[in-house]
Amino acid sequence: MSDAPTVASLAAEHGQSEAYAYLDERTKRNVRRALLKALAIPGWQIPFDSREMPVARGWGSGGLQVTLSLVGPTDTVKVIDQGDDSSANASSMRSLISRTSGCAETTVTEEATIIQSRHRIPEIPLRGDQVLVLQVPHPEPLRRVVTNDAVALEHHAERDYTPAWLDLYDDEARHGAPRTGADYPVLVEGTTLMSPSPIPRYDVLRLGNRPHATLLGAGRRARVAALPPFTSVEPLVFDDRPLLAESAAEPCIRCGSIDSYRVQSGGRYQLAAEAGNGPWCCSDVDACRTRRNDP
Amino acid sequence: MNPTSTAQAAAAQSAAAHAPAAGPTAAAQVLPPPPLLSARGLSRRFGPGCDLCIELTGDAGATSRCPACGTVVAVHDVSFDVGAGEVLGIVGESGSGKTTLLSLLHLDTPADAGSMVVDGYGDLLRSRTSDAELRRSAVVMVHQNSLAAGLAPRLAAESNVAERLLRTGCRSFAEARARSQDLLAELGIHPSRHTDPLETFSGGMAQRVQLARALVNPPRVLLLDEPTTGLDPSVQADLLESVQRVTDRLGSATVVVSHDLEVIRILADRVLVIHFGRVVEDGIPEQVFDDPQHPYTQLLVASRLR
Repeated sequence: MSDAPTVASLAAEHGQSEAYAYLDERTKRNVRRALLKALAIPGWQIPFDSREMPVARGWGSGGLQVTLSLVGPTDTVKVIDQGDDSSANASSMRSLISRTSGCAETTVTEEATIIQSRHRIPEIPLRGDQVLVLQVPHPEPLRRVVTNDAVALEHHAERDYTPAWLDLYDDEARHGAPRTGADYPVLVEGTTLMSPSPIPRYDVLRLGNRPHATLLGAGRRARVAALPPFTSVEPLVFDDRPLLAESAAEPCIRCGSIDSYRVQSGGRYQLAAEAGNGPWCCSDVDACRTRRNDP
Repeated sequence: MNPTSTAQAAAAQSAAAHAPAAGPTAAAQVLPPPPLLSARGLSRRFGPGCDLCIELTGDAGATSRCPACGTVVAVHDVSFDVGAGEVLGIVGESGSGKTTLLSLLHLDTPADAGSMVVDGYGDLLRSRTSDAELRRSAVVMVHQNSLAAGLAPRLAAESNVAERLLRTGCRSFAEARARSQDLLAELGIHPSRHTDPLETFSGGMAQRVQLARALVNPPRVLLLDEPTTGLDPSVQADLLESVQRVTDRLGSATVVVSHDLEVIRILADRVLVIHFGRVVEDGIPEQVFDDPQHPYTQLLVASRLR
């Protein structure tokens, strides 16, 4: 028998019962099994028994189930929403995870062992001992072009992604560029098409060959997918039309960065009268703070 | 003309074409190139079948449905060769087996017997390559109805054409675009309409788009199913002229099925007349239409003149 600590033994050490972290053990085992399969076939969508969670489906229930299935009392969890640690959704989920598992919580990227994120990848490079969990609203990358799930599955089985290429061609021919902004489809290991969750193109280009595992959970569609460390991830682009990251009009007003992913302050909640007039600032709040503290 | 003897003659001709040169005299002769498509004994029945099916159908029984068991002998023992750049026309009345023959050639319907050798691919009916793969490069069909061909009405015309290139692994946008647009222009679609959605196109123009899609990856065998049905005469003539020009240039073997004898006369280098699932006459169009031998062909030609 291995002496490696189990979640149950760690939980016992911390005075917690085995069935902790909101989900019952059977559910967590089911999610972990699905994650193991997902890691074995990078980018492939694996079904799992998605449970009702105390957040609405589509609000991170998939990412939450993945995180709660992994978390142990010695973990430190960070939850971000569009790069921000302090949004209502992110703070609520961080609080739920830490209170039901007894783990520590943080907003500092380097301190976290599990980082659950909605629509961003932290800009501070993650280490091999960290895990990134992405919340995915629509795990099927062919959803826009193949409406029938069964037909989409056939395309995946045959690795025939002509409908996605055709959609891309049509965008290039009629609009001069892909119309897909966030959630740009990616080819994992050159074979499997995957939805990377609605991260910006800036992050799509940073998804591949990372030392950490990336786990993607879609609660509403009951699917998980995974990218093991150092997996090749390339956006679906023509050889002569590279994918361009979003550009910001100005440097970050707080840290002065010119190469971070920046949004206009106020974001989607800004008043219509101020749209297009607000200052630009980094989307990743922790990376921006780090740059300000250690310029 | 006896269809069996037609098949034997065609087989003998094909064997002669493939035979090694026997001596100086033979070597001096210019052998015809091997056919791109060589069909032998293609047959297809729908029903349980019995020993009397062949005997009681065809000209003998004046039906393609076996009176003993009810089986429909849709296609029986059809053989022909089509060379590079050659156009074979198939004519016959509704229910004569034209469409079944075309669907056998397009691998949509499995044949009961026979072989279909395509140059470079072997016998497609026994190929280990998937039918879908063969339909991308070996045999391509232009359907009567452009929507039945799987064209996407919401996508641009050139995207519908480029789809065939993308499917076969072309990953250069510039190359896919140049090839699609060149072919569309060659087929008479004005460049200003290349990026318009296909749903805004007329029937004749949609048919051209379908033809461009079929030809953008030049197939070995091009199958045209009633290519001009539903189009007005001026558009028909224009389309046929485009088909002729492009197929001449690409050198595919073309099989065209039509009710319209005029279409066959314009396009085809040779004609097969099908009746009750059998080939009842074949030859060059002038010979078949000006001096028909079989009673059915005589009726067909006479009906056209009436």
